[in-house]
Amino acid sequence: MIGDAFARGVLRDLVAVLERAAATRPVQVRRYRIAGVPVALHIGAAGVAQSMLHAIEPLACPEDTAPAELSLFVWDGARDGVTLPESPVLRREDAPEAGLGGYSGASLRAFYQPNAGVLSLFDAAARCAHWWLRDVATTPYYERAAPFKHVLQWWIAERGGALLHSAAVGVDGEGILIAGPSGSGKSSTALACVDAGFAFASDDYVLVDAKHPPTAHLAYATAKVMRESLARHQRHHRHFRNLARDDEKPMLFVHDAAPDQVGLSLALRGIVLPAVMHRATTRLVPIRSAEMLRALAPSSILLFPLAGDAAFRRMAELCRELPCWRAELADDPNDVAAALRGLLTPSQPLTVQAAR
Amino acid sequence: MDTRRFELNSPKIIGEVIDGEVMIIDLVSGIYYNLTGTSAAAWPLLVAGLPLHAVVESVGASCEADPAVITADLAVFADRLIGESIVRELGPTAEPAAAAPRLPEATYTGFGINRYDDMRALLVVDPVHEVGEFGWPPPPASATTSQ
Repeated sequence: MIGDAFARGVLRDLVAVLERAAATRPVQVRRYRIAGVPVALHIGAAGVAQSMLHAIEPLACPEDTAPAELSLFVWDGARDGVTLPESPVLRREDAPEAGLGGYSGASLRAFYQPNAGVLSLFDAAARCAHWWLRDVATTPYYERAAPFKHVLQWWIAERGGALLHSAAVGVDGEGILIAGPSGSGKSSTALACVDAGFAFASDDYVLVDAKHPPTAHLAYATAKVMRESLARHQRHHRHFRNLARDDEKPMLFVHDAAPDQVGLSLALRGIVLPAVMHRATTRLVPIRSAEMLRALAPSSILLFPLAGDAAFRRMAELCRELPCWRAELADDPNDVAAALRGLLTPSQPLTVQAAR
Repeated sequence: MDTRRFELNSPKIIGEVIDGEVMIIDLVSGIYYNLTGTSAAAWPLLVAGLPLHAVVESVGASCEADPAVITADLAVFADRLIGESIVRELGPTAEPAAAAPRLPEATYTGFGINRYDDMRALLVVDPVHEVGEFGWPPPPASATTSQ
């Protein structure tokens, strides 16, 4: 078992290596607003920017001159010549106890994915982070779908928010979260809403801030669907990527397919837990906050276990603060979208049953 | 008189009380739990370090149940929490025992714990999330309840 002090020392040395590399290699700086906050990305190789950061393109804010509250360095190890030192700390092979799965200290956080070749480092005190990719050419597609998500979850947790495993859609600046594990209908529900004219803020990961009432912020304009549900999304067919790869989920970037429907921030009005029921009409059933937390928290927390207690508390607050519904879905996506629109425009009659 | 005292086994374990239930997540194993009824009501007292006999007193004052039954059930529950590494035992204290807090009146339901391990794959796979066409492999949902 790796000792904490040893891991911390190795990671501090690694941060120093990356800082030296940043000082001696050409980097381009790109400005973004993430959850409304100025962020600077320092990108070591043009190829990384082009291929890895398309999911956050709607957040680009090239003219922003406000001081960045986070500086994030993006490294392509193969092209930037920045390799990780040989260390037992970075020798994790599938089993977390064999090395560094994650490290969480007072200020420094790290998470290493050896098979994907991705190291995420975040220093809260320095407001600085590194996202190191062994080789962009072989980095799995899901990192393109949601780049530096571990850095984002540490960063938003430091600000009192959370990165949720949840979709988010809305109308006129107000939105709802769509919670549940993969395969539960989040993405299909979110895309059904996009087809019905909703704003899209997430199909998988969404940033929620610390405000009351809470606001959801787009993290990635990515939508991924199961291959067998592609027929339902014919309208966007030409925008789907990975269609020729059976081992990858088809995904599209919503700002390519529906650029006017990217919702950067949505004031949250409720949380919906979809259930594929093949009903004739979608039925919305109020559920208890405890039931929603059971649906929302385990996958959100366990995908990002180092966010821990603070993120869990924020999720519980959201479930207490917002009305929670189970959406027993119809097969007709227009009907699903109409039901969710009713939650956001309550002057319209709702098809609602009392909680059992 | 059972004087054992406990605290939450943090940072490995996190817990939240919500809507009369308790949700507990083991960040190392990926197993999560929920408590309802009497076990949820007693949870804040347990993790606040009250000795078990004081928890028995509080629970007994809130419901119509035989204190001997509560004592036996709570001891089993505490052993289960220790066995699952949800709590750790505290040493004896020299401080005088505080008065047992009042709990809202409720029906005694025993000390059940629901255990779920359907999310463990999230912690033991790399890539972290997508490992197949349908997201992570969904193992058969398993939820067990023991009273």
